[in-house]
Amino acid sequence: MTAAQGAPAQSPILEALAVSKSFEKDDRVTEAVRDVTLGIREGELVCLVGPSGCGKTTLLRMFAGLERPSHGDVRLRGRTIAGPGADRGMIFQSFALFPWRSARRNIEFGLEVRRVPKEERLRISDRYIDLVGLKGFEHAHPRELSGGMQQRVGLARALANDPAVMLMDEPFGSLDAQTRNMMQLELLRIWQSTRKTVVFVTHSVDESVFLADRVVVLTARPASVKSVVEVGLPRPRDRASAEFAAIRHRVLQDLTEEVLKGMAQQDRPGVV
Amino acid sequence: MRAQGLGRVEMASQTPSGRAAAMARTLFRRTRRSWDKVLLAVLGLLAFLIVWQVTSDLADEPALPTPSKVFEALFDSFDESKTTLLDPWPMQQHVGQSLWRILYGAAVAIVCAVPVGLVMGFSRRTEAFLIGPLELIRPIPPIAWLSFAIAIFATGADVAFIIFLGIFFPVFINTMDGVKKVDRMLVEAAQTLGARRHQVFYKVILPATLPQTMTGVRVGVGVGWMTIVAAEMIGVKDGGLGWYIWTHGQLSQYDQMFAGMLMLGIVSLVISRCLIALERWLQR
Repeated sequence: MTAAQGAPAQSPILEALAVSKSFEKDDRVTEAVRDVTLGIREGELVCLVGPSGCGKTTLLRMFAGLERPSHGDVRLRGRTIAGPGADRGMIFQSFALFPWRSARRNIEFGLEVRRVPKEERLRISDRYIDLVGLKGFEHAHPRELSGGMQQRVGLARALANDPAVMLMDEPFGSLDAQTRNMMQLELLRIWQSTRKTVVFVTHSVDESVFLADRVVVLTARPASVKSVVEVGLPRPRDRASAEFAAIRHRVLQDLTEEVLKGMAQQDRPGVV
Repeated sequence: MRAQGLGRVEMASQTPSGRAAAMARTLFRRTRRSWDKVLLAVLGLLAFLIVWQVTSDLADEPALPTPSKVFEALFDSFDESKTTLLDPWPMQQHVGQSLWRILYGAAVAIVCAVPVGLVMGFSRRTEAFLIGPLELIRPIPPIAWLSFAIAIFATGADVAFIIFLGIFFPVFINTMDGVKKVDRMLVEAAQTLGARRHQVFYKVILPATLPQTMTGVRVGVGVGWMTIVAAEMIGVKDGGLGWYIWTHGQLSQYDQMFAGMLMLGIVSLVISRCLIALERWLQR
């Protein structure tokens, strides 16, 4: 079930090539990511799991162009990613909605900055409002919406730009368990209807096995690829099935090893 | 399955009648609460008038006139035929004069303070460079500049300059602080949605900073009123509410003096309400 690490058959849409990232602060160097090589195929849903604070978010932020790698290269369709751009949509754990804008005007933000004419904006935002199930809430401001609804706005806002890939940073991490499960189903429905490439960071093994085509387990800090697990179960997946449990167990085993390593590390704070 | 996650807003509107009932409930509750507040506010004002009346009756002192005398003086002050040689202006002209000075000073102050605050909030270097002189000038009470202002500026502009000083600093400090507090995540969200530098500035930094800038304006205009009254009392001769209060006080016309003070309270209350309304409107 394990694919050759970071070497998919088809040429990848998004790739990290020998990527490392260190942060320097007050003469202390913290290594967040070490020598990650990973390819993500077009239309694939990949989950990155790893111990808390391992650097999985840093990896995602490099794909987004919000961080530059210290070494190595991140590429979209073979071209080096030099900065953030509308071709990669980002979904934040804290939603990061503009509080002074209504749901619709949040969704239209990317269209607005690309100077899409008003009628066109309206048409596109209507489509994604429908798709994510926000009908009737177009005029609500973020503070008037529940967490799940806010993240629907976040999803629609990123999708409205029609990006090549969706980068999701623990998008359901701050939702309650029921809303979270429902948003997972919603994400799968939206993913299946848009066929977007999705990179999804989570620390929930269950979530990763439920959603992903492939689960990439990252090591404790500095993050490198520990293992890649091909899930290969048909959707909709049954969390109670034996196959699900088996894969879940595999991922969990790899992750637990790293969590323990990470805890041992904490005695000597992440300084290299 | 989906309805479950639709959250708070949806709950009330599941059926048309449920929605109507919920709306009626909120409306009723809100109305009752606001009526309670209005009633209490009216009672508070009444109590204030009674205390005032009783105190001035007991004191029997010309410098503390009764409310009825003050209200009478206030009504008369608007009547142009009742003006005297010593104060040839009706009240509306004095109010207009002070308001004009405030608006003038506030407009110039906001136009200067917002860009300075934005740039200093953005750039640590600019902040480090400019913070010294600004922090040195800030604690000087604006009124201390009065003689300077009278010597340098034309009549009218002199008071406006004092007001400018009073409003500039709160607006500048609040704007700078507002920029620093803008959520980094919002800037990053905008960038990943394709916004360029100037778009991040106009579409994220500015609107995110606006509430704090408006707080600065409100505080500044409050300082402006204190300043203008002092300026009109001490050095500036051509009318205004401060001049009105001071002159009638000097003439022992205490009824008029209190009428002027009351008018000042009313005008600045109205302005502060207007600014709050403006702030809400800008943040829609």
